[in-house]
Amino acid sequence: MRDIFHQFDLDKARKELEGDRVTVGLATCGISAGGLKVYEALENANIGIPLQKVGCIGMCYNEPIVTVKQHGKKSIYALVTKDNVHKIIEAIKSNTTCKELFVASDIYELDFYKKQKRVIMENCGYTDPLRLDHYLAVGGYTGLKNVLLDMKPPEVISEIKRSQLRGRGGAGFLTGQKWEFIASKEGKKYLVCNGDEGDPGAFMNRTIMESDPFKIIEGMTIGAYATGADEGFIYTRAEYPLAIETIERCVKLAYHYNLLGKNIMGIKGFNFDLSLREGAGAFVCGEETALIKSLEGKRGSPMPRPPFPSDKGLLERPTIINNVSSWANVATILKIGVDEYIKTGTEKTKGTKEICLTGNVRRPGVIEVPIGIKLREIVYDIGGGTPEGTKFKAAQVGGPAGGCVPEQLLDTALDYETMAAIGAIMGSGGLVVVDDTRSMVEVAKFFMSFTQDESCGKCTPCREGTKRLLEMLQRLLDGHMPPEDVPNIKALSEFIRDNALCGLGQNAPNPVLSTLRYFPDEYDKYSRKKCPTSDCTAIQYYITDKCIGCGRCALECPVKCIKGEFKERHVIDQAKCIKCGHCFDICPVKAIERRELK
Amino acid sequence: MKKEVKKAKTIARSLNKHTNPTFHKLLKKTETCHNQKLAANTKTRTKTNTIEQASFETTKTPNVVYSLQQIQDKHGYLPSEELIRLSKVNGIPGVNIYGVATFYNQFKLNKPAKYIVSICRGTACHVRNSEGLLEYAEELLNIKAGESTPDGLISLEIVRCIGACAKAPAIMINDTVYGELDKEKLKKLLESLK
Repeated sequence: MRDIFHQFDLDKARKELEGDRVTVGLATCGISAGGLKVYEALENANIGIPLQKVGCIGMCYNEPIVTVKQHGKKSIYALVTKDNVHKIIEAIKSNTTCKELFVASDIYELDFYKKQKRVIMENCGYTDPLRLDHYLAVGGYTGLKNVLLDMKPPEVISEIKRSQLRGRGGAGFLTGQKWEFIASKEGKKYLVCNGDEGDPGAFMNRTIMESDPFKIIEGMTIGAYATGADEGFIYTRAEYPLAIETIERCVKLAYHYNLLGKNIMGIKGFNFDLSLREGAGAFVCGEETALIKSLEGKRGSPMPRPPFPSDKGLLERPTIINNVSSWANVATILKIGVDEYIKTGTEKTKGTKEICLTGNVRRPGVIEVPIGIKLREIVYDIGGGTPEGTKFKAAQVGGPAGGCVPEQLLDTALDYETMAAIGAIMGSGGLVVVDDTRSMVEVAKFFMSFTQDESCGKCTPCREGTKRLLEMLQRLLDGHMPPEDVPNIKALSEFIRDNALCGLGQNAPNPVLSTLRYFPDEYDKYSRKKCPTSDCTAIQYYITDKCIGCGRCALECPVKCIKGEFKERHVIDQAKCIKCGHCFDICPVKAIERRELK
Repeated sequence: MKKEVKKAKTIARSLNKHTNPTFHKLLKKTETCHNQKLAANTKTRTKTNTIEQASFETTKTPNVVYSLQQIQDKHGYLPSEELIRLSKVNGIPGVNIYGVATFYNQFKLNKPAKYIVSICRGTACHVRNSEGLLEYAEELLNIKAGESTPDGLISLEIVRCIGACAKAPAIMINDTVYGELDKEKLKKLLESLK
């Protein structure tokens, strides 16, 4: 084996990372918050300390983040904008800390990080994603080196099997087993990295692609060695322009240093070509058979399985499709060793999982937690709970095909089996917090409209079923569905779940089923033409001139939104009204009118 | 919207029936430069895109998604003449090309405006009221989602998720993401485009 490490001045790179420096997090989150302008301002300020671009540290609620390490003292500044960056520049020049923007001197001092365990995302926000020497300096490519030095391909597979790594894309199939299937096959084989992260509310794959792309490339190269595949693709969404650019540049670099291409690292006969494919915007293409069709240039419709892609995949050849995060896990496992890796996690699932915490939560961001952590710890300890004045209602776990977890089940541990047991799925790892201002039926309808729109139209249960289900939900929200029809929603949902062709269709009714299970009262209220929250715009209450001004409604209104003089006509403040319908029920002269707006 | 569908249908029809007189007119007009373009395309394909080459070898037809992406990169949308050429030159039935072009959200059959304002309607943005933002933008620009302003400056689109969930609600103007928007900020942004 030819050592490529000597081509780099790793001591210099290490010094750069550990010594005095100023870094700005410039992944998509950082840029959208105005990070580039901050970077420019720092660049022009002549601060006398090296300035570096790094990836995303995950603390999205605090973007743009600037980290200053001066004379060995580290300070993290949050919410830096082009208007207040001069304060940091002054602080650097006078060798002090800018108290106003200072949040911590180390990330683990923050509540946001205390319960996290950063293994896969350890380099995110620490290294410059486009610099191979940075990646090597933090121990990158030691996994591949270990493998090439003293392991035969079957040994690599048995190591991955021993690590019990499960597919991080959501289904949780054992990665080692998948590899074994195709390793025994002869001829041309393909590897695919599934970065078609279409789930709304999930962006952990993007974070890794933007902030630590070499880890994915390394993982895939190890996979190529273990399975004998010699060609690979990273398939990602066209909506991720920065990730595409980053991966493309890194693949080029890897080719340049013989980490990809022919005879990798001087090993005769070990060839692996890797290239990037842009998706064209279809949610269903995250499904593996649909992804294959899309790579072949066809409509991305799923195919019935078997044959599984490991038998007949891309161009009818055996193909392995793993999620971005799974490939990153492979590189990590072989770097830190299986024994170290399996220390974290539950009995059935080892390691950590990246979660995107979003929605009505105080501290949204990308987090990495050990598998088996309780949802309550994620929502409250890491996310800080819901914003002031609102109450937690549900956590939507697993993207549009996932389920809603109510307050009483928040103590469930995060794992593939436990999540499935309560009607949610682990999915790609999106966790959207919904507070009590939103109605759950409306949330279910939102997901239904998403899956209905993204249904590829191949199988009838999904194409027709989701459409009808959406219509039913809309009717319910509009107050046109009598209570006796509500069970039909459940019946249709179950039918779709049991009969659809692919994962998209089978999981599509999950949001409806889980909200029906945990929030049946909301469905019930809608069917009785009452809105459970102020979120719904379908119904409004008005007081007509029949009002005798008795004041009973004003007295009993739970949010006190009815005002008026005694013996005069009262008025409802529509902005405050929660549409509970109580006034409608109690009015002695039936002066309150229910108006349906749609 | 209706206009778009009508136009798309005409394209599909002309793709299928090569007897269509407009088809021949269009073909004649563009044939010479097309052949040169195709040569250039094949070259890049053999250079870097092995899967396209492999699928070309097995099925004798080029990768449609990839070809469409190339056309869209060049023109910003999929002009009907280009689709007809793709069908004619490679012997792919027009309906297949049309099927792929309409399956994926990325492909546009109409010329887009100068600025594409994509409003994210993902989950995180939804719970932070992106619906209100969309309605407000529709009101401000006086167009519906999926339409362009009459001056061809701004087109308003709905995008499923741009992955800026922690900065919800977010929008994308061309390739730049703007996060944590409210109505006022959106108004300022849209005004800055004019």
